[in-house]
Amino acid sequence: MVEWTEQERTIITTIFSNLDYEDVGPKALARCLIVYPWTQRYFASFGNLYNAEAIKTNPNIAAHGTKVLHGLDRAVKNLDNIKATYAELSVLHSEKLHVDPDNFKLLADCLTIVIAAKLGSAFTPETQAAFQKFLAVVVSALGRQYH
Amino acid sequence: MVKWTEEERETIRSVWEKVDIDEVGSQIIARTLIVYPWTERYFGRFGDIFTTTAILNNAKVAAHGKVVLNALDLAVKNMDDIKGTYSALSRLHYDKLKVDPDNFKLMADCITISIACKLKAALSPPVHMIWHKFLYAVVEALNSVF
Repeated sequence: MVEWTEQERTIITTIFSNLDYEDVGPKALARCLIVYPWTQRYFASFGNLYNAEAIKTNPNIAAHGTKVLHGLDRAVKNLDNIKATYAELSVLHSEKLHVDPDNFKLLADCLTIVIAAKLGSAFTPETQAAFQKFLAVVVSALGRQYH
Repeated sequence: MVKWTEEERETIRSVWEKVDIDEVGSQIIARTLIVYPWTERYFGRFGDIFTTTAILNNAKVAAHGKVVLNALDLAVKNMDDIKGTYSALSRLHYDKLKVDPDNFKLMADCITISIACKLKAALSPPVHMIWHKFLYAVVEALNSVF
């Protein structure tokens, strides 16, 4: 089981309590689709994804980005049991959505960049370490039910 | 050989000219050591790098970050032959420093994060994509002798 220090818990919960999910979620997902274009294949039914502008203004992408952040919120509220919290989501991504689990890390990396850009110098190396540890646990939990 | 459009060249240069090598350089090794602690094994001669505070206050760590960014500057100035420009560096990292090449990507990620903290909205998704392509080419070039 993952061990969290008090400092790590504080860093993670503070980041999320200051986030506008409706702003950061869409930004992170749009960035992923632009920087790693092969990820667009999972969103073929979302409409126009032909260029960066289209992706950034696509309301389906925005809604889905917000949804992903709310999903992360569940992990923040269950830091000591992310694996169980995400068991169903893992099955969904594996059996229904058929997402290559390597892509979870790409979205996590894009979210890290969005948070870094938002916090600026407040995204210290320690903050980065705690945040990336959190995302690594989330990514691992999401990949858990794959077979 | 990597091909660059005019737009990509402009974008990479425009990101790079916003990077203060002293300011960003001092962060990148610190971030790598703190976020990926196993990388400490490569900096045995830097003194105390075993706690976050020690790393953040270590002058050799800060100085080495600037060495790395000055090398990145060479890549920016020689985008059409990053592999040739880095062949001696690649050999150094393989033969002498014996670095596991997986770690190049980790430091590249820390460089991008340091730049994101500084540039904020200026590292927009399209700009990020081009910067990512550039760092990928740099990592590939460092890997070339391996």
